[in-house]
Amino acid sequence: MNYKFIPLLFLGFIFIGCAHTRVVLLDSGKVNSSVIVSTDKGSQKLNAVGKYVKLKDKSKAPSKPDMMSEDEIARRFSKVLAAAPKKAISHILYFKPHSTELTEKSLDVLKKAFEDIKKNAPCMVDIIGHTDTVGSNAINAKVSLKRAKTIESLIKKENIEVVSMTAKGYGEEDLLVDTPDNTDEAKNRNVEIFIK
Amino acid sequence: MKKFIILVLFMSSSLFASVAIVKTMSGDVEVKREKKSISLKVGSTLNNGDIIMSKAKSSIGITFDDGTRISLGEKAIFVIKKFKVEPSKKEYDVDLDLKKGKAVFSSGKIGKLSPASVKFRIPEGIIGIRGTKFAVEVK
Repeated sequence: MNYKFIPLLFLGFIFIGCAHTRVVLLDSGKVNSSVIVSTDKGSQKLNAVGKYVKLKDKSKAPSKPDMMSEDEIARRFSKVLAAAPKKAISHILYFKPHSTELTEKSLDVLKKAFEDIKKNAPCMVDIIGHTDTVGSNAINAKVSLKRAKTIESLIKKENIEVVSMTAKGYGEEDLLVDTPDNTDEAKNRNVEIFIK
Repeated sequence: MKKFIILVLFMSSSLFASVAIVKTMSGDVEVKREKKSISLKVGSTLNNGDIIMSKAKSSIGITFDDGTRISLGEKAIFVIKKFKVEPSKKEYDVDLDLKKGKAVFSSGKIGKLSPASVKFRIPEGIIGIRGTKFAVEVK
């Protein structure tokens, strides 16, 4: 079926069934990414960039995966791809042990984060604090939140406009570097500034 | 009395907390929210339950809480049934529904933390992700 004629089919609902829904895997920059497309009657896995399936309706299994050429992807999806937002930005700031004071290097990273928030306006900003595994969970939860709040107040001081800003403390729950308990690990004493 | 008001405000803000922000727009795109239609613009926030509808020659790009990005082409209908990504509580539930039109999906942190919690619905079925970017065209 020639794609160019498809819009005409929408003149009558009766023809809608003639067209297919298509799902195609795109390059996410990550290896081993895939999608599984399922209907009531079966599933197909798309595990290589450019692979696609056609779907007719709920009661029919998806078609066998086939390759969609780059040209066809561009023809079908270039406008939607062009509308995609830029990737969210993460900056990681590091702290001196058991303190809410940033390391020298991280002060520069913080400045870069200020710039990125301005450049990507309007945006939402998450500030997520972490600790290493030295000390109790309860204290680390508090320290991580305090670190996040410290960064939040620094951003507020700059009077940078944001749509929303949240500060959270994950304590030692979500470590950047996996370590046993009671391990002094500088990389785990961090705050992530997540700019969306 | 004061305490009561503060409590109510806190509750409503957590119930209607926005889950996404509009980052790109062209043409006319509306959101249907609690039986009202609101025109969207860059910087508008989106909530759970929102129905996004793009008109002819229009498109929109939105970024969710966890960095997941979705763009829609013209004449699309897209429902944010639920978007919850809370690593601190290990709560993950992403339920999106493309009823019509074209979309490009690119997963954020959920793609790494809990890809199995993502449901991307289309009229014919469902798309499950494994840390991914894909395009879909619903006829």
